[in-house]
Amino acid sequence: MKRETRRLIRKFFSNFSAVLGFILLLFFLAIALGAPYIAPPKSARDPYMMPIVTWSANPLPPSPEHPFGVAGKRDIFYGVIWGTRTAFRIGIVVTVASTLIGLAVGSVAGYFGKLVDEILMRITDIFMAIPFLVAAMVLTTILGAGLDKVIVALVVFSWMYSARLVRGNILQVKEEQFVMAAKALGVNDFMIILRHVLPNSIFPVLIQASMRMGSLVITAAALSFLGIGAPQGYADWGALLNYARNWMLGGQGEALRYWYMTVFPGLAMVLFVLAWNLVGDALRDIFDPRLRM
Amino acid sequence: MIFYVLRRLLFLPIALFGVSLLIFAMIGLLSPYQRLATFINSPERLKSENVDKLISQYGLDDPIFVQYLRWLKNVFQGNLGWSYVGKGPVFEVILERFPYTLELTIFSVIPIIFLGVSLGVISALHHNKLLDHVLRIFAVVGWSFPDFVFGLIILMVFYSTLGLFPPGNLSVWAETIVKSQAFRHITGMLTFDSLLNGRLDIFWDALRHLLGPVLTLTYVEFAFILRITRSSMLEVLRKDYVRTARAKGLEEKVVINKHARKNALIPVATVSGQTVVGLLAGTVIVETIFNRTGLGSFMALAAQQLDYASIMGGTLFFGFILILGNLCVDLSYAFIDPRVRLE
Repeated sequence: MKRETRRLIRKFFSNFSAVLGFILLLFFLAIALGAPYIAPPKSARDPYMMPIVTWSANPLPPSPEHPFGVAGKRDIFYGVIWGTRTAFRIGIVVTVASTLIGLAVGSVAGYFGKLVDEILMRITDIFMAIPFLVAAMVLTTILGAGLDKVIVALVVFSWMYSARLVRGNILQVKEEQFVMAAKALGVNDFMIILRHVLPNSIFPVLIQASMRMGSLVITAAALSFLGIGAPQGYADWGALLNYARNWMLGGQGEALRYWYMTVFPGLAMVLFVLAWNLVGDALRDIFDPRLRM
Repeated sequence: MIFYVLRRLLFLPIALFGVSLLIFAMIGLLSPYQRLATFINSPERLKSENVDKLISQYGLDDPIFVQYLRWLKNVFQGNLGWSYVGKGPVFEVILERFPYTLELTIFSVIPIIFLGVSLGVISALHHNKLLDHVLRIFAVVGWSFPDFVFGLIILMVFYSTLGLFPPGNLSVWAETIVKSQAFRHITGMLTFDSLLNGRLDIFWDALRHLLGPVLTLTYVEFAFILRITRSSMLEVLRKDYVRTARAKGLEEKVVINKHARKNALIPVATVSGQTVVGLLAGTVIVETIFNRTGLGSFMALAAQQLDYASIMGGTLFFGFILILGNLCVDLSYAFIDPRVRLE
């Protein structure tokens, strides 16, 4: 196993796009961890709230004091830096929580089969019959603005994908001889799932989770962009882009004067999602050569 | 096969029932006061009438399942309620808005599939060469672009600076003609209706307004088709029958076009179907950014204002489309690839 792990790690780092994605992720991680030093909060208030730096509603172009400019009375640089933390938090919490729920539902359905399987899978289908963004939008509005509410809404409507995947894998693994052997020895169901079935179907789940990270972060930002996610003034890339929205409709080249409002938070989002997509793609290549891109 | 289709179709009403329960349960999290707000359209009413009386008049303080049963009874009588966002009966508003979304989907899916397939084949034929890498980077960057970021950039560069790709559905002059009595609405889709009415100028105007959202959706979505085409093409090129075709001295062009590409497109067909279904439900952001009328922007407004008759109606309609669409995709898969058996 150790030798195998080393081989896989070597394979990962010999893949150019994987390395690129990994470096990008490290870069974002450094920004997220170093946020208090890169963009020190001015007051003792909640550092995640972007401070108001001007009283004029008009955006201000980049200047030495505000390197990325000012949008919605707030410093874009500060928002982009602290928004990195927001993106990581949403992405990781939602992915971990929804994957755990999916693991539980999927393994119960797959292992016990029959009626349990039928019921759980039909419930899964029902959750999947509502478009993800629409469902998240409705639930977030009902719960009210706030990052924790966004996270809850995203978890409620994103566990189904890993549940389906786990169920499918377990149906395959269940027929393997080592599971039958454990059964014959009288090991109880819970232990069989935990010790024998899950470890053999965990990698596809992890890969799928890393590939979903990007789209989750996009959806969360889309909610803030629509004005129903993060509360007013919260450091979030989607919220920064929301400030840009109305200025992008100016005629006769007006919008190009405000390019910084879209470009800086937009670039941060694209690179962040790109990093996860590259890493997820590479992981899939390594573990599942059949799907090689 | 018939049994399979019947079983899936039987699940449709059950799923819609489940969806309605789920949404209603979510709405039940709101207090009656919050829900009352969607019924009130003028602040004067709140001043002149007793709020608690209004709540009991609308039955908002009944137990949630009583309210659900009442809603269900109305649905069976063909009444989905009144949409405050759409200013009309929910069902009518949805039917009026759906063609706009359908139109956007039709116009987007053509370049998505065309670009995805042709670039995917090119990428596979240049496997691991420079062109392959360039195309893959182009695709993965597009795939990583949130549609609202790309949409804003399109607006900034093309609309504001170059005066192209205007937002909205139509220009004002065209809008007045479309709303007039003389213009007959047949499909509800502006491009097709204008052609049927013989108005090329309106057709051109509608098309101009479609370009921005279509460009956005194309760049964000085509990567998936490219990726599938490429890997499936690579797989097929290794097959024995391709080697046979080459061995018997066929021209490379014939081998690629006749033997390889046809077989490589089988998985692409399924994924294209999924893309169509996904687009029908996935235009919320694009429609909102480009100020377009459609089901997506309607749902965004309904959710923001908690107009719950619209939310219920809209999600049920989306559920209907998703389930039926996925069934069609699965059936087409079995039809294209006889090795697939549906059970």
